[in-house]
Amino acid sequence: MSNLDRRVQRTRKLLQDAMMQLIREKGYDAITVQDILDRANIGRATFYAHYQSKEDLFLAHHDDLVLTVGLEPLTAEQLLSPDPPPSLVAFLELLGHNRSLYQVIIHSRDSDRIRQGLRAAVSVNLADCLQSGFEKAVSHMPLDALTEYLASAQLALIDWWLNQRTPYTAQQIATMLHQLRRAALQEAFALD
Amino acid sequence: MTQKVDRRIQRTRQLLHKALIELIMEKPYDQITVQDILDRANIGRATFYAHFPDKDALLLGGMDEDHFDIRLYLDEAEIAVDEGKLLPCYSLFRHAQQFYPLYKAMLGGNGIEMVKKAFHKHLVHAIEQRIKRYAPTVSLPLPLVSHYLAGALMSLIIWWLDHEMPHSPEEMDTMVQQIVMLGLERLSHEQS
Repeated sequence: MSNLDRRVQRTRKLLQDAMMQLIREKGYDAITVQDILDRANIGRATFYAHYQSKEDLFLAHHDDLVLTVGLEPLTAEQLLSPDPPPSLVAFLELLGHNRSLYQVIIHSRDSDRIRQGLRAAVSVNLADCLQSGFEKAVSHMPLDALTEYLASAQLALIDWWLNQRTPYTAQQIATMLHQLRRAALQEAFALD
Repeated sequence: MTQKVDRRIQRTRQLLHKALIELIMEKPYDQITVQDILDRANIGRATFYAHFPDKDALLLGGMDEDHFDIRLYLDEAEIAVDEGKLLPCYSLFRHAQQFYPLYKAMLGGNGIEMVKKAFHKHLVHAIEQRIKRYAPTVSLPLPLVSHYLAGALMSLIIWWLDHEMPHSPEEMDTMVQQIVMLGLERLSHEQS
């Protein structure tokens, strides 16, 4: 790799990190290009040499957003607890505070790919937990099918929530989603 | 006289649709051109555009035709076997088994996003009707449950198609009804 390439990469990484930090701090809507420049300590001309807009910056690095979204490892206890795991609430709050980001995603050319990335992240998160947390129980449904079921159901519900102007808060959605998921797991593994 | 014209229009549409369906089973949808469809159906370009603005319109319009009607299985007569159930699961898997190559091309992992979205929407609608009829006491918001269940059912069909139908429609139905129906019942009891 030449020095130039490395410098380009470093600049991009700085901008991307700044944006991700800001998304978590104040939500995508409220961020201006100036905020990103200030945070990354990078000049305006440099920014526009790499990206056309903040949408462009985001779309160039969405894979990293999915990874930093904070899908923390789940345990069986968390899935079967009466209350939703804090990581699920935090995940939904992040999405809820970034509705316009979601609109950017679903109207972008990359829409299908981004959703597949998010889907894969949610699937892996659940699969890890089902494999390690429920090893003694036998599922009525093949584990990979059950994982798909839970991941897709979750994302379909989130899609609905973010797309419609529903009055529900992230906490309420997390609670209802958790209840549906928990009931399905209890039936799948015949738990009481 | 008008009847004769109607019949001719219908015949043209059927020919175009049949050609498209054949092509979908042969190669990826993205790679199919209007010219391919014209060649296969032996129909002129002007005639095509008199009926449809593009191939997407032909595909979605074609879903009303009898070759592959993803709404058909949701019709009352066809789903009588799923009477009383929240999900029209058995009839759906049976239909998918009957038209396996086509379902796989349209809804499988590498299927057509546009079709998946339309299909998801139909499922949401069908499930809402069923919840109103068979489970009016479900305590969670109707659209939330219907989107959740539609996502779940979609993912299971996709899983099943991609794994070359590892279980019979009866087995899939049993699994789904057990986890979904009993899961929802459990939820109602917990909350009452």
